[in-house]
Amino acid sequence: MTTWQALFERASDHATSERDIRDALAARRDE
Amino acid sequence: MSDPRLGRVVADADVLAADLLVGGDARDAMDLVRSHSWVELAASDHLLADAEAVIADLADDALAADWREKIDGLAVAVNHPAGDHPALASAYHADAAHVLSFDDDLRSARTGMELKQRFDVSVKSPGAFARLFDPERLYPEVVGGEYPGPDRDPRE
Repeated sequence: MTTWQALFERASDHATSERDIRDALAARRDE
Repeated sequence: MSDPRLGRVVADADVLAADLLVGGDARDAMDLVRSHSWVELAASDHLLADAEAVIADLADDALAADWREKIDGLAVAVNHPAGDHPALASAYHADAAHVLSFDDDLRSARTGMELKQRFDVSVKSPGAFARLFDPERLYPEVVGGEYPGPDRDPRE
């Protein structure tokens, strides 16, 4: 299984923010 | 007398996604969980599915799937009815003392009072949790004995 460190490194390729995450989660839960 | 619920934590989907995609306070908070085997992360399938969907939306499907496999290995699964708030219901059914969320409404004084009438839980921002959660103080209450320090690599 992959490590957390490897996941964090892959995730660093995707620029996003806490605001983007909150908005995406709110949109999903409002569906 | 030990109180294992003090070592049970629920991180809402926004915190789980931010741990992976942003870092910062969410990662500091989750590192505390990952680095102590006696600190249990509780989560329902509904909660993890929300986080997985947000990760897929903001990053990609492959990263979301690999994250899901990894978090499934860390989290203790709990069940609750569909339609309940995934973080609060996970905490209720896991008898967890801590909920981490970026949601201001969830952390409001009014919500806190309403929750206290149903069960004893504290909803905190990840930053507040990272500052206030004290493993050395809690270890004797949750496990018993002297705190041995972190016992897991949080990046493994």
